[in-house]
Amino acid sequence: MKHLHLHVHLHEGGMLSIDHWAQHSRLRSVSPYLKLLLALGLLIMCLAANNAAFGLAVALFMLLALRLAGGVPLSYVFALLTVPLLFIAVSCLAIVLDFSPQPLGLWDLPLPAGLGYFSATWPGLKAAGLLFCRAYGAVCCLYFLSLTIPMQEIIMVLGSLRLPPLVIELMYLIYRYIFLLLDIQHRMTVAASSRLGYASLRRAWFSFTHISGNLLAASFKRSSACLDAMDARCYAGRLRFLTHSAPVHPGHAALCLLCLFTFSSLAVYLKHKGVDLF
Amino acid sequence: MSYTKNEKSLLFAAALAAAFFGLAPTANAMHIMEGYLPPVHAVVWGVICLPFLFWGLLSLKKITAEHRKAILLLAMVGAYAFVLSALKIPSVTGSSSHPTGTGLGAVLFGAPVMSILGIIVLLFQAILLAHGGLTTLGANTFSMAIAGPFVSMGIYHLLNKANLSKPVCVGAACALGDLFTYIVTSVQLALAHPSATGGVMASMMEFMGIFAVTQIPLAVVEGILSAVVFMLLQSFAKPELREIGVLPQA
Repeated sequence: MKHLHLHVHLHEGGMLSIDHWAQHSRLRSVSPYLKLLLALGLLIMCLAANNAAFGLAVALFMLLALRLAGGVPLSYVFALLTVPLLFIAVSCLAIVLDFSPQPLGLWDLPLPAGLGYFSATWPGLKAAGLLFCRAYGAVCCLYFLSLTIPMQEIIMVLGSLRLPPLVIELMYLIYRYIFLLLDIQHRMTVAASSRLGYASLRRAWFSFTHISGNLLAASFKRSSACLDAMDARCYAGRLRFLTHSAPVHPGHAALCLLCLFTFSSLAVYLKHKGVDLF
Repeated sequence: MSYTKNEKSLLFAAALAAAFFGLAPTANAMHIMEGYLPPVHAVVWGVICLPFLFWGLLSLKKITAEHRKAILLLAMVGAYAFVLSALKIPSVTGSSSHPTGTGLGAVLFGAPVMSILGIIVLLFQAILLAHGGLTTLGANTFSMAIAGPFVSMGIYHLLNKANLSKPVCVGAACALGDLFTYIVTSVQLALAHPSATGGVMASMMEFMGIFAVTQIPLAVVEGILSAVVFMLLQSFAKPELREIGVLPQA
């Protein structure tokens, strides 16, 4: 698939910076099948092991792999990690705090009007700590996948898994159109802000809603133009894209299997010995 | 200076609410993050989605067979939903929050198709924007691309029968669809992490309480935004809306 990346979104802090890193990853020469196998394998182990120490070990391994093999700066990965970690922290709060009619444990917050108490208990704190570490490992696996495998290769792998061709076509088209729409949206926003469209909250709302609406109208018009272009190139109901990705290298495959084997033995060992942080 | 117990707890509750107002919106609408659901839940929610996805695929095949342009239009709507989710809504606290856009899609194309479009957009959001995750894809698809759109479509048709103006129907349908998504997500979180003392119900009330601060205003915002976008479409893209059957043929 030919890529027409548009300059505005390509900078390192841009809207789709993850895509930028994936396209320019140092691990592009490794087969996407192996990278997917490694990331998804560790992700599933992380959830299945349900062990805080294992989660942190996976997170550490993935961060090191991203830095040393993928060449992604850790400061960038940590900046990416803040958003999911905030969500996890907020949700952990709901697990730590327990609602009950009488005070229970370590710390109790009485509710007004004698409704009861919000209590923090040891089991609640332990569950939240475990969840946090497990989710941390899992999110690092997800980031390894998204920062080293470009989207067109992921779609190609999904296609080889016999997903319906219609869905695969739709995925390629959506991926292409995202860049197209982001470019239109960027130009509209520049046009609006150069005319003081974001000078006040009221104006900002006006600009935002109108740009959103115009964007949809523009995208409808663009899709007509696309159909004309496809008709001119003998479109007969099927879209075919040319993808090529790195072949499976025996050394890479061995390394990947070794990692998976090491971590599965680690999970079994931790389970057997009953080692955990919480 | 000393406070009474009641004053103290009120102060704490106010500080908590303020903190969430600042924090939670940056934590991305209601996507359940990677690693948050136990494996069994991840698989079960995925399996629950399957019949809807199959229905969506059949309906997608039918639409694309009837209208040649439909696949391009659907791809555009999918990309649009993605771009909209990547944009930041201007808001008072300076935090960011974003709409899901699936309600409008359900009104335009019908809810079954939105399940396929939704799962693709959620996959892209997980991989390109790090919103949501792969093992939580099933649960997120069920709440955002199946439960929400079906409610939106149902309410739109109900209100439409009551002869209300189209933008009002669209706005109410999208806002209520969003609220339903939020309730479903709270149930999903509660089932995965029931409270030790009160069980699933108590846990669900807690999750709903925590996310209400951001999700209820967001639902209203999404309703208004969808209504405005729909009005703009009525004036700019009449032929396209006629083609997909939202407006009667001229």
